[in-house]
Amino acid sequence: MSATPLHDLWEASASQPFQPTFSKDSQFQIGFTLLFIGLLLTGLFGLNNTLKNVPLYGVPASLAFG
Amino acid sequence: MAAISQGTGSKFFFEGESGRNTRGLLRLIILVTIAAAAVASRLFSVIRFESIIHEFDPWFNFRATKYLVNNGFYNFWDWFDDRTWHPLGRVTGGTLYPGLMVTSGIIYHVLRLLSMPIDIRNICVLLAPAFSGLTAFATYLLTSEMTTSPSAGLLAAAFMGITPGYISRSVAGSYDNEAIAIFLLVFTFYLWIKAVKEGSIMWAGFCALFYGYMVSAWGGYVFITNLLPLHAFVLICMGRFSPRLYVSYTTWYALGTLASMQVPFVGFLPVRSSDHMAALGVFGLLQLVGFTEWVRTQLPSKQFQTLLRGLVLVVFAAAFGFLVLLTVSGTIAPWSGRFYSLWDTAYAKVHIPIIASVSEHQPTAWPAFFFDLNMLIWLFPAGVYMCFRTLKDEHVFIVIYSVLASYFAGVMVRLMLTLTPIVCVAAAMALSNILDIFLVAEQPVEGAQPQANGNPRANGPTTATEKLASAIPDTLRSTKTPVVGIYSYLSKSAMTGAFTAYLLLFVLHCTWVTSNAYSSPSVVLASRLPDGSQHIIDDYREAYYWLRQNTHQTAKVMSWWDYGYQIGGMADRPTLVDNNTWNNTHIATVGKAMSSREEVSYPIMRQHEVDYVLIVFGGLLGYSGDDINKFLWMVRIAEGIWPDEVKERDFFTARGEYRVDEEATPTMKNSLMYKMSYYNYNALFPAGQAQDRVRGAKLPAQGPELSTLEEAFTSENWIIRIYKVKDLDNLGRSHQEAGAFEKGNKRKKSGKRRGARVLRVD
Amino acid sequence: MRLIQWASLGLISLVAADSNLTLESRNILPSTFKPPQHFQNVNLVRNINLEKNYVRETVNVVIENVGKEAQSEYFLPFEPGTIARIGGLEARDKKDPEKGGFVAEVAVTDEQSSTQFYKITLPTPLQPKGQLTLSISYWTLASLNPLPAQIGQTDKQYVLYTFSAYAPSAYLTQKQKTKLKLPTTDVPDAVTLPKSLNTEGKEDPQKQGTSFTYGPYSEIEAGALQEVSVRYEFTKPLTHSKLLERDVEVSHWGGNVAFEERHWLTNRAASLKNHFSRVAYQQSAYYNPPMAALKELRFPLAIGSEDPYFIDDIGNVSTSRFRTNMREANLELKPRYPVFGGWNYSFRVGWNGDLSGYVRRLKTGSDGFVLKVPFLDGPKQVEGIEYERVVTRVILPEGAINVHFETTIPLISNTTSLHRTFMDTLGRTTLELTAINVVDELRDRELVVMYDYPFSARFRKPLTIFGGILLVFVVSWVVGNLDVSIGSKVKAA
Repeated sequence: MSATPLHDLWEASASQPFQPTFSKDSQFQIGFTLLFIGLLLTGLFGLNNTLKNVPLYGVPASLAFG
Repeated sequence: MAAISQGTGSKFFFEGESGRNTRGLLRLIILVTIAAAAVASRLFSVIRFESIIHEFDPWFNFRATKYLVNNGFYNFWDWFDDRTWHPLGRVTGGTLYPGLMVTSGIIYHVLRLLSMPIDIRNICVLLAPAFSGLTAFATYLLTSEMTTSPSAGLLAAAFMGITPGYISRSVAGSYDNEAIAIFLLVFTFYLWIKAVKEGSIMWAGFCALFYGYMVSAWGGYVFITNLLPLHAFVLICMGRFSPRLYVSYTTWYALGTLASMQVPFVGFLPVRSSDHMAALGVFGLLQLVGFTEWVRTQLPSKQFQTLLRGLVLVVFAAAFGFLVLLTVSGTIAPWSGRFYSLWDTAYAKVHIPIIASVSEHQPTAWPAFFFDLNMLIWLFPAGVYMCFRTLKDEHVFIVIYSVLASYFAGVMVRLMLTLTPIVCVAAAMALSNILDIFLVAEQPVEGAQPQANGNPRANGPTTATEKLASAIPDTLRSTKTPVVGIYSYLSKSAMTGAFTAYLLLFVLHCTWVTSNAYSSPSVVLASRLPDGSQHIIDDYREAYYWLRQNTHQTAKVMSWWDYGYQIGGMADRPTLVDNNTWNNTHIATVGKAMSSREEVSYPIMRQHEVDYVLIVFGGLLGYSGDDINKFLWMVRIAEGIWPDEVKERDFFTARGEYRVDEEATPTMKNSLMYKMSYYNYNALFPAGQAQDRVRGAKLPAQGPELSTLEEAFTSENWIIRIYKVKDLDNLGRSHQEAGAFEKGNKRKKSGKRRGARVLRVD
Repeated sequence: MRLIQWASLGLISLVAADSNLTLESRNILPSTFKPPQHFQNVNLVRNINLEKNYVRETVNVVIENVGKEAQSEYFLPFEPGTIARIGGLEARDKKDPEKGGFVAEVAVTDEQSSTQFYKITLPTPLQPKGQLTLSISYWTLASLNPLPAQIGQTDKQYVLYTFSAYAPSAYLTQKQKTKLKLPTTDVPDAVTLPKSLNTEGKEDPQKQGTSFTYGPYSEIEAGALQEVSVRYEFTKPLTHSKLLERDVEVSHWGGNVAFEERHWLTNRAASLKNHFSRVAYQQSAYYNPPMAALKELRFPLAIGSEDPYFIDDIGNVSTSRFRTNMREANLELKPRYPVFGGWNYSFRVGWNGDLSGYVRRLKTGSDGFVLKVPFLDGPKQVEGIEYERVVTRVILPEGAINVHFETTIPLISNTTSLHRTFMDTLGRTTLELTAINVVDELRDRELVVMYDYPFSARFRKPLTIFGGILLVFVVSWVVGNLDVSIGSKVKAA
C-alpha cells in the first residue's frame, strides 16, 4: 500500500472535508453588506474629510472593502 | 432636486460647510446612480446573448486593438495590414483614428498593473457603456454651465444616460469610434464654454487637449472644428468680442490644431482642406478684430477708426479671396464627397453609390426623431427658446449647436448622434425650469420677491405659458389674484404629476427601444421556438469558425465589403474588400465578379488569387439582409466603373421588376451571385417546390449549375455559403467544357479524371 | 511494397510526433545497443483491441531468466516511428496484481537506430531459472489510417491497421499467439500467412466472429517481424486531440474549484472526396447513420458540477446542453459544424465544483490540505478519443507551499511556478504536469495534491486590498487639504 502515500492521506482524512468560511450561498449577501458598509463610510468620510476621520471612517471602510 | 428639497433638516447634514458637502454628496450619488443606470441599460445584449463585439466596424476596431495590445504602440503606428484589400494591403496605422484602440489598450494595461488581467475582448465590449456613464457626467457639467438650477444638470445627465439616440451607438459590444467620441464631444464643449466664460488659458488648453483626443478618435471632430469658430464668429457679429473670447479661441485653435496634426490620418489636413478653413478664417478674423479693438482704445480719432474698419474689411476680403484661389488651384483640398452629401442629399446617390449604399447615410425619417428622443424632442425647442431669453455667450452656443445639429440629423441618420447631447441639454433646461417653478415656487408675499431656487421668477410662468396652453389663463389670473393659479396645490400637483408620468413613459420607451431595436449583435440572430424559448441562430460564426479552422492561413476570401471586417476578425483570413471603403475600384471589381457570368468572373477571381467566395443567403430562413437584396448595389457600384460591361437595367425584367424566380432576366440568372445563392438549393425541396422565403418567390425547377466554383461549406440555416474557386483544368480546357465532358463520360472515365483533380484540390 | 508502406507510415508518424520524442529522451543508450539476451519468453499471448479509435495492446508473457545472474531489466522493443505514439505503458506481475506497477521508462538510442526500447525494471531481480508472468499493456495512438483516404460524405469508412504477426520482442520467444478484437465483421482485407508458419498448421488469421487470431508460432528469434495488416469498417470519427490544456483552480475563500479545459481537436478520419454538402448532411441527419464526422461530445462531469460554459475563439457556442440532477451532470456539446475528416475544431469548456468535494483537511496540523481531482476529464465517446499531449495545471491559492503530488498517469514533466492573476501580489502556486499519449480511458485516473496553506497567506489578499484602499483615503485627505490651501473657489466635493 505504500505506493500511493498521498492517496492514503486522502482516505485517512475522509472525515474532514474542507469547509469554506462562508458557504457559496451566503457569499453574495456578505459581499454586498461589506461593500455597502464600505461605500457608506466612504460617503461619510467624503462629507467631512479631516485627519481625525481617516482612522474613524477610513479604516473600517478599508476593512470592509478588503 | 433631492439635494434642494432636503434643504432643511438636521444641522449637521444640511447646513454650513458639511451641508454643502451633503448636497454635493447627494449630487454625486445621483450622478453615480445615473451612470449606473446608463451602463445597465446598455447591457441587454450581454445578458441576452453574450459578451460579443457587434455588427461590422467594431470587428475591425477589435482586431486593431488586439494588434495594439499584442505588438505594442509603435508597431501599431506603423502597421501595414496585408490581410485586407488583397493584393493591395492597407496602411492601417496611418488610415485609422487610433483614439479608441489606444484608450482600450491603456485601460487594459492599467488593469493589468492593478493585477486585474481582464480579457481585452471584455474591455472592448464594455468600453462603450463605461464611456456612456462618463458622457452623462459631462452632460451634467455642460448643462450646469448653462443654468443656475442644479437640477437641470442632473436631468440632462439622466436624459443623456438613457436616450435611445445615444444608446443606439453605445450598447455593450458596439465598439465603435462613437463609443468614446460622444463623451469627448460633450466634454470638449463643456471645456470650451468654461474657457469662454472665464477667459482662462487653462480651460482653453484643456479644451484643445480634449479636442486633440477627439480628433484621434472620430472623423466627426470636424463638427467641433466648425462649430467653435462659428460660435466665435457669431459672438463677434453680435458685437460681443471680448478678451475672454480672444484668449480662449486663439489658445484652442493654436494648441488644438497642433494636437490634431499629431494624428497621422489627419496630418496636414487642418491647413489644407476646406473643412478646416473656417477655423483658420475665424482665427485670422479674431486677430484683426482684436487689433482693431486695441487700436480703438489707443486712438480716439473717429476718422481713423473708420479708415481702420475699412482696412480690416479689405484685409478680410483679400484673405477670403486668397483662400478661394487656393481652393480652386488645388492647394487646399476641396470639400470631401461625404461633406457634399450633407448639403445635397441626392449627391451621394448620383456620384458615390458606395456612400449611398450604407443605410446609416440615408436621410432620417421623421418618426426616427420621436423614436430616438421621445419626449425630449418637444421639450427641445422650449429649451432653445429659453436660451434666447437669457442669451449669454454660452447660450448662443446652444442655439447654434441646436440649429446645425438639427439640420445634420435630418440629412443623415447617423448624425442623430450629434444632435442627441444638445437635445438632452435643452430639454433638461426646459423641464427643470418647469419643475422648479411648480415644485418650489411659493405663494408670493405682496411686494416681496419669492424665493425660488431656479431661474429668476419672471421667467417661470412665461415658460410654462409657452409649454402648456391651458396654463395661460391660470398664470395670468395668478398675477392678479395670487391665491389660486399656479401656486395652488392643484395646479402644482397636476403639472408635477403630468411630468412625472411623461418621465416614466420616457424611461419605459427608452428601455423598450433599447431592448428591442438596439441590442442585437447582428452577428448572432435570435428567434423564438414554438414553446417560447429563445433559439440562437449562429450561422455567421459557424461559417467564420469553419474558415478559421479548416482553411489555409493565407486563403483569400472574396465577399461583399460588408463582411470584410467580420471575416478579418472572426475567420482571421485575408479579404479582398472590407468596410473601410477607401478604394471604390476594388470594391467595384468584386461587384463585377459577383454580377457577371462565370466566364467573366473566373479570370477576375484568378487574378486576385481568390480561394474562397463567401456569400450570405437568407432564402431558407427568411433573413432579409442577404446578398441578393444587396445585389443591386453591387451592380450599381460595378456599373460606375464599367458602364459597358455591367448594366443595372439588365437585372430588371421588361416590366421593371427585380425578380429571382422563373421570370428573372438571363443576366440575373447567369450572374455569379444568383448561381451561388441558389446552387443546390432546390435539392432541399420536393421537385419544383423550391421557395425563396425572403422574396416570396418560387424558384425555377432547374437549379443553377456552377462550373468554376464548388460548394465548400454551407451553414446550418444556409445563411452563409462558402464556395471554393477551382484550380485551372489539368488539360487546359475551360471549366464548362470539362464539366460537360465529365457529365457525358461519367460512367466510362470518371474514375481516372476525378482522381487527378481531387489531388490538386487539396 | 508493403515494406515501403510500413516505412512511410513510420516516417509520417515520426514527423508528426517529433515534439514528443525529444521530451521523452531521458535514458540515452548508445546506438549500437543490443539488449543482453538474459531472458527468454516462454509463452507470450498478445491481445490487440481495435474496438476504439486507438489501439490497446495487452501482452501477457512468461519470462525466464536464462542467464547466470539475477536480472532486473527487461527491454521491450518498438519501431522508432511507433515509440513516440505509445502511451500509458504499464507492466505488472500478473500473479500479484495488487503489488502495483513496475517502473517502465523509455530508453532511447540515438536517432539512426532502427529500434527503440522501453525498459521495465523489476522490483526484485529475477533469479536464474526463475520465471515471472509479466502483464504489459499500452496504447498506440494514431495507428489506424483510413483507406481509402477520401470517401464520400455518407460512405462507410474503412481503416487499415498494420502490425507484426510476431510480437516484437528483444528476446527469443518459444511460443506466442496474437489475438485481434475487431469492432465489426466487415473486414474486406486481412493479410493471410501461409500454413507453414503456424505451429498448428492452420492458415492465419483464424476468424471467429469479430476476433482474429494469428499463431501460435514457436521459436521466434529476437527482433523477428512478420508484417500483416487488416482493413475493417470503422465509420466513426478518429478523434485526435493535438493538445489538451487543463486548469484546476482552487479557491479557499470562495469554496470553489474551477475547471477549464482547452481542446485542440482534429479528426483523423477519411477526408471528404467532394466538398461538404449541406443538403446531403441535412437529409442524412434524418436517419442518423454512422458517420466519420464528429457531431457531438459528451462530458460526464462530477456530480454537483455547475455553471458550465462552452466557448471558442470567437465566443459562446450556443449548441450545448447541460443535464444535471442528483445522479449525474452531463454536458453535451455540439461543435459549431460537424467535424469531418481532416477538419479541426478547437474550443474550451469549463465548470465549477464545490470545494468540499475535492479538498480535505489533513489530520496533522491545521494548515495541511489534500486535493483530489481527476487528471483529465475530457469527453467520453463511444469510439474513444486520443490525446497527443495533456498539460494539467493545478492552480492553488496564493501562498500555498510544500506542494506534493501523486498520480498514476505516466508524466513526462512537472514544474511548480507562480501564476499571477486577479488581485494577486505574488502569484498563485501552480503545479504544471505534462503527459503525452493519453487516451480517454484514463479519464478516471486521479491526481492527488497535498499542500500547506498557512493562516497568514489566507489573509494576504484582504490585507493588501485594505492597505490599498486606506492609501486612497489618506491620499484623498491630503489632496482635499491641498485643494483648500490653493484654490480660492472651493467647490463641493
